[in-house]
Formats: sequence, C-alpha cells, structure tokens
Amino acid sequence: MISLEIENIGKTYGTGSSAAVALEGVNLSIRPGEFFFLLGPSGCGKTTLLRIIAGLIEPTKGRVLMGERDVTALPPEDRKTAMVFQNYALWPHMTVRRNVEFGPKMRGVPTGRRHELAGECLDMVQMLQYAGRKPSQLSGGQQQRVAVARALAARPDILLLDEPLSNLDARLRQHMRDELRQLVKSSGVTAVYVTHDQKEAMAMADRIAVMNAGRLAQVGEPRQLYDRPGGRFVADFLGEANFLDGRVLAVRADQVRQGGYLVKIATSAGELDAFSDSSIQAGSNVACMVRPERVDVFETQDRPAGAGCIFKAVVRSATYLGQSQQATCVLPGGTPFRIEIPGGQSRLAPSLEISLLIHPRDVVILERDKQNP
Amino acid sequence: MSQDNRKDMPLIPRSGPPARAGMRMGDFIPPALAIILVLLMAIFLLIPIGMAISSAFEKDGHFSLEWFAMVTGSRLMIEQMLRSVLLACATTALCLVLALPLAVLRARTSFFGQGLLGILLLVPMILPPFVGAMSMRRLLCQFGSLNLLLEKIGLLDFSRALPPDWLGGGLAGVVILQALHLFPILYLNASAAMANIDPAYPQAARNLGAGPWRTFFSVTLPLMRPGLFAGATIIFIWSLTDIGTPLIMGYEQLTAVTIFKELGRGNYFGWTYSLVFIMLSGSVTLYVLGKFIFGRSHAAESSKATVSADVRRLGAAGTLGAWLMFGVVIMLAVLPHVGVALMAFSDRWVNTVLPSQFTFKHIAFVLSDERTYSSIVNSLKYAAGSTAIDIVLGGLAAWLIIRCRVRGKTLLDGLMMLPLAVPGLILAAGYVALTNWHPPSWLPAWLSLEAIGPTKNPTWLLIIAYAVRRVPFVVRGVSAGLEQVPVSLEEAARNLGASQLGAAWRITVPLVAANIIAAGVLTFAFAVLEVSDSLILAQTEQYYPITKQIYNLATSAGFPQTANQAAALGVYGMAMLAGTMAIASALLGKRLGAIFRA
Repeated sequence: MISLEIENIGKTYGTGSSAAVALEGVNLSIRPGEFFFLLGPSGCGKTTLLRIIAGLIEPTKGRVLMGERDVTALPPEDRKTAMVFQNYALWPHMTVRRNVEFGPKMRGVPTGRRHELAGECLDMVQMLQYAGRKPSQLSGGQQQRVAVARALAARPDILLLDEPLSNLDARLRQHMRDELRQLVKSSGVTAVYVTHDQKEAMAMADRIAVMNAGRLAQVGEPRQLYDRPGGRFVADFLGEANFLDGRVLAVRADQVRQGGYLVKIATSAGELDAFSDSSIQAGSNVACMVRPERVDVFETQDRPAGAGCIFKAVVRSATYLGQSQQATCVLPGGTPFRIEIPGGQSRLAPSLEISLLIHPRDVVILERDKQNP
Repeated sequence: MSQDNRKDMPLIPRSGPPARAGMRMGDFIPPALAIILVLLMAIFLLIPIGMAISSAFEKDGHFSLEWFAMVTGSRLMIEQMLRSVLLACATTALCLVLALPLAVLRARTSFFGQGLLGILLLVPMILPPFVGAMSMRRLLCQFGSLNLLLEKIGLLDFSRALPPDWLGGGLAGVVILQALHLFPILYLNASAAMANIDPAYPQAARNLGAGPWRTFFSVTLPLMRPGLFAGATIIFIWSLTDIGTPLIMGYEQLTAVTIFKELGRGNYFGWTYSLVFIMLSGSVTLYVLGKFIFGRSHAAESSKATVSADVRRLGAAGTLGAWLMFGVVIMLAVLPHVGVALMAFSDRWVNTVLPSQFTFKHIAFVLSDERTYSSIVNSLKYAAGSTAIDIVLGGLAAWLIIRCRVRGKTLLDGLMMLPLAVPGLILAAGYVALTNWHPPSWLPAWLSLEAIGPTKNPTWLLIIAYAVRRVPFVVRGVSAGLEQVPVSLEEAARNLGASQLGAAWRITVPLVAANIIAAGVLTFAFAVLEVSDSLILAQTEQYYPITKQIYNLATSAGFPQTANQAAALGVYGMAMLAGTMAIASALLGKRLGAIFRA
C-alpha cells in the first residue's frame, strides 16, 4: 500500500487572454489503502486531476508523489497506476482474458504467472467463466467488472477510477457500489475515484474531496462533509440545503458541549439558535444552513415538544415520493424553505399551515462577514 | 468560498499526453516523423510544382510575365479555359443529378437487394472514362449500335435522314462519359454525409410542421453540404484536368489537352507552364474554398445521434421503383464497360447492333504480346510500389494528425491533403520540369534527376507520382478509422505499461487494420487506373503502364485490330480493379465515402 501526495497542482490550457484555468493550487494527501473520492460538478477539474495522477495530462505546475517517489515527469507506463475508464476502454479485438493479462504482460510477468493472475482477478469479479469472450459479448455491468479486473491484475500502486458506474442503469449502479467498494477494500490498494454523483461518493468513500471550479472546496469524511459543510457550495452540492441569512445577537458558552458555543441569530423569519465550535462576535453577519430532513414538522394546532426554535410556515407546494414527502414552505418574511418528512406521516398539501422545529445542533453556521470575523 | 462554477472550462484534451518539460527519447519520435513527412512532401510535391511555376515566369534566366501575358492575351487560350470550366461544371452538375437521389434513397429506405445495388453502383469506377469512350463511340455514334437497333425496329430510317449522333459530337459526350465514371464519388460522399446527420434534426423539422421536401431542402441538404462539396470539388478538378476522354472523343480544344500535347511533344515552353500555373491556381482556389468556406462542417453544433434513423422499409411497389432508379443509372454507367467487353471479344462488328463474330484472340494477344503483357506487369509494379509507400507514409501521417500533439500538425495535414487539389496533369508537368532541371556548376552533377525522367527510365518517377497523388486517400481512410477508435483504448494500454509506440502497435493498428487494408486496396486500384501521370511520364514503350498502352493502341491509326486489343487490355484492367473495389467495399462499407473527402 502506498500514499499519494498532490502538491500545489495547477493546470492551465492556452496562454494569455485565452488561457483557461482547469486546476489551481490543489493539495491532497491520500493515505495508503484509502478509498478516496474526487467529487464535483461537470467541469470542476476532477477528471483532469485524475488524468494528471495517471500521467495522461501534464500539470502546468506542482508535483505528484507516490510514496516517496516524485512521478510528475514520468510517462503513464512508468507510474504503476491502473485506471478504470468511464467507457471501460476494453480492447474490442482481444478476449476478456487477453485484456486482463495485458497489464501483467507489459510489466514483464511470465506467461504462466500472468495466466494465473488473470484467472484470480476474473474470479474475484466473478467473470472467470467469460474469459474467452470478446467485450462486445458482455453486458455493461460485466464489462465494468472486467475493467476492474484488468486494472487490479496490473497490481497497481494506485487504482484510478473515472466514473466507472456512470454508464450503468440506476439499479445496477446501486448494486455495483457495494460490490466495487468491497473489491477495492479487499485488494488493499490505494484508490482514487472520480464521480459527480454525491450519493455514490457518500456510500463508498473513506474520504471525499469536493471540487469546484478547479479548486478544492473541502476534504473530509462523508458524514463530516454532509453534517458540517465548510461553505455554501459543499452544503448545496451534497444534498439539499436551506440557507437563512442573519445577524448574531448573542453568544454564550454551551453548557452541554465542552468548548462549544450557543449562538442566537436574528433572521428574517425569526430568531434561530445554533451550536458553534468557535466563538462568533455578536453583530456578525452569518448564513445558517439547515437540511430539509433535519426539521421536525407539526401541524399548527399541535404544540411542538422538545428543544429548538419554532417557525410558522405555510406549505406552497408538495411532492409525494413514496418513502418521503418533500415540500417548499414559506417562512414569515417570505423566505422559501424546503422540508422533507417520512412518506408515512400525515399528508403535506399546499396552503397547509405548519410549525417547524429546528434544533440548534442541526443548524450550521457557514459564513461570517469580513468586517466581523 | 467561490461559487463561480465555470462552464467554459475545457477540461479533457482530445488527444494523448502532451509534450512534457523534461523531454524523453520517445517524445522526439512524433516530431521527427512529422519533419520527415513534411520534407518528403516538399521534395516530391512542392518543389516539382514550384519548378513548373517558376518556368512560367522565367525567360532567358530572368523573371518575366511575358509567357503569362501571352497566354492570357490569347483568345484561343481563353476560349479553351472557358470551355474547360464549362465541361467541369456540366460534369459536376450531372453527377449531382445522378448521385443525390440514389444516396437519399439508400439512406432513408431499406429494400431487398439494396447492398448489391450499392456495390454495382461502384462499377463505373473500375474503368478510366477514356477507355469507355472507345466503346461508347462505337455504340452511340451516327452509325453505331443504338441507331442500328433503332433502324432495325423501325424507329429510324437512314434513307430519309442522317441518324443522330447521340454523343453530341464532343462536349456532351465527354460530360456524359466523365459523369458516368465519377458520380459514384458523389454518391459515396452524399451517403456518408447523410449517415452522419443525427436523425433527430430532420425529425425535429417534421415535428414542427415541415413536410418531407421542405425538411430535406431546409435541414438535411444544408447539413450534407460539407460532404457534397467535398465530393463535388474532387469531381470538378478531375473533370477540368482530364485528358484521356477528350482526346478519344476528339474534343481537344481544352486547356488540359493543350498542356498534355505540348509536354508530350517535348515542348517545355514557358507558356505551357503558364497554363499549368493557371490550372493549378484554379484547382487550389476551389479546394481551399471548398474546404474552409463552403465545406465547413457542422460537427461543432451536431452531437451524437440520439435517436434511430427514419428508415422506411419499402413494399413491393417501392422496391420495384428503387430497383428501377438504381437499375437505369447502373445500366447507363456500365454501358461503356459492356461496350469494351464486346469490343474485346468481337472478331467482326461492322454495321450490326452486336458483333457478328466473337473471338478470344484479342484477350490472348494481351498476354502473348510483349508490349501489352509488360504494360500489365509495369502497372502492377508501379501500383504495388506506390501503395506500399502510401500505406507507410499515409498511415504515419494519420497517426500523427489524429493521435499526437505535434507542432505544425495543421501544416502536415494540409500538405498531405494538397495532392487532392493538384491534378495529375499538373504534378506530371512538375516532374517533367524537375527531371529536366540541370544543377548549376557549383552543385554536384548527381543531383540531376534526368536518369529517371520520362524519356529514360521513369519507373521511380511513376511510383512516386502515383504515391503522391493517392496518399490523401490513405491519410483520410486511416484517420477515419483512428477517429472511431476511442483514445481511451490507447490510454488504457499506456496506463498498464505500454509505451506510446507499443500502444499504437498493439492496440491501434489491429483496430484500424480494416481501414488500412481498404485504403491500400483503393490506392492500388487508383494507381492502376492513373491516366494523366501515365500518359505524360511514360514516354518509352518499355515502361508503359496499362493506361498508356491502352491509349497507345486506341490511337494507333492503320491497324484495325488495335482498338480491340486496347479493349482487351481494358478488360484485364477492369477485372483487376473490380476485385480490389469489392474488397474495399466489403471492408469499409458506408465508410468508403470518407476516403473521397477533400
């Protein structure tokens, strides 16, 4: 197992006024054996970064280190990476077995051993019985497995996966998530996986780097990124989020959480309490993020129980999704607010007057204005 | 945190890895190969043409516009030029009329025997039009087979009036013969262009209320424009510079024929080269217009096909109609070939619709006569040599252009495609100028290429001329294959440890092998068919290729059998070329059209 260091990587296409910055100042430290995800919208630079790691694109600046070895100037064939391509890139003129044996062959593994190795890897992905077939005779899911087997058979230091599930249908994709994670983790290889699907990343990753416009927005474990996003972009990209702008009225030490603070914030919809790990000066402008499913919803005539702030709201539109109901409400002051409740609860309907209970632990303070940091 | 989500960022380059700051040995290979190719094209294309052009502007060792003024001031020359342009326009228009409906029918319908008809439509390409001209004269002249047939069935009465000359005594005959030979090029281009149009575009037009005709003219036809223009350009230039057909048809007041006659007589005067310069300027201008203005592709706006094409399965009546359409055109197009075959096997054919006696003696003569037999061997030798050169150079060029990041790639692409804009006649004139050049005293005498000149042993000159003229077909053919092989297949190989050349050899070459073979087969076929270079550059009978020998026999006066012997030689040529075209068509299918793109 080997670590991967990305040091200040930048990539610019073109020069002068026509220059387009694809990556800027990216630093990452990926641990040995880690299943690391690069997540972001189309065009954020995640695939460019993956191809820089593979040596298929030369960075404009920065270094790539695999373990102690600086591989920045090495051609792809000398890097000991193996990539699973988005379209799988299985060679149509070779059988499944020849595809899988290619990597070991290029790395000088003797014929007998590479035959064994291919068999092991194909067995691992349950494709051994298809070894004699051509890629065109396989389904999408089978091709994906062969692509993984081909990459693993090369015994790479770093396994790279470029949206390998994006060509599969929704049901198969869900099934392959678990299978792929199990495969990668059992092989023990350090892996970097690119995707724009936040659910895929949340379900499979050890850690995720969220990217936006060629830069890293935040790096962390899935739960940390979801519950405590570092900014609006990450909060919005990983699931749905409500944002309430406000001003800090008071800050006091939290009685329950050691070292924490309870912050009272005035928003256009009313007062809101939030926990914070750091102190914030009273009078600061902040933005508060609340996840739709983290709000308790009551009909107005009921009196909500439990700690937290209560907001009156009117349902504007509602959608029934089976397992859940989603609705857009309007808070006092006209602020729109999304909520999500289990599908089995009483039905949300337009014009219904409701109360929302928001617990301070479910409020994330995102931004502070520059005058009052 | 910035929320700016840049939509315009170009993120994944199309091709493989870029040159890196610390260059390795392997990184020098593509630029080195590109330089070698550019040098070869400069020596065998640019320098000969440059020499021909410089001869047009040189008198007594000094720059002079006298030749040029002489040509442009001559009413005869201007008339010849206008007549040449008229001929090319008429041929191109007739090709369009013949090819477009058939291409639409092929792309939008499906019927029994469609594949067979598609292959039969390529038959006209297996015979140079001048060979067919011999037989067409026999069939369609005043006392030819057609009129004799019409008299026999009572539709004509020779005693009342002279029968009509169906070939119109010149221009019309040349136009018909050229168009019947060349329209498959436009058909292939139009078919390819239609196949490339996302069916969603015409479907969207129909959905918004346009009828089938309006949809065709306002959506489909504009989208086909690049393909059509590419094909039309090739046909126009071909017709403009054809010499064989006008010579056989006796329609000689054309610029190309004048150039040929002067060079054939050994008159390397400045004014001949001035005509060469004018023809070249016209061809290159048209090529450039076609490529960069009228032929600009809509590729940037179009996307991958999102829906399946509207292909209508024809019923019995529709199939019959389609067969009739294809059948009439194919019948007209193969008429010259049938005529050639009849001539080759006829022992007596005087005042009868068909030969009254048949014989194998002309067919046997071709193999027994040393001159005709050696012309077949020579053609095979020249064609094999030039094909080998084309596959190596064209394949390399395609790889460099499509797969590598090389500085000046556009220049390389332009140079490799330039022969399409340079007619064989012009290149041959350039080679005549090159081999007539005597190095000045301060240069070594061995630089003189006189030994491979037309009057000495032009074997290498012909091989090189054939290779230069046909190399664009290989570049296009292999490029089309490379474009269909995702670059990620090579990247996957490199990523698993293969070097750049190793990945190309193990992955790319096997995947484009069909394209390489098909382009090679076509190149071979066209080399055997080559007329202009052959007529001008082979001046000694010992080195005549088939086409020159056919021309020689066909124009020999006083020996009644020579026309039949020429036809017999033509039959051998047709048999060879029919085989090669069938192989190419089987290997490439609809992609065959991509090879004929400008």
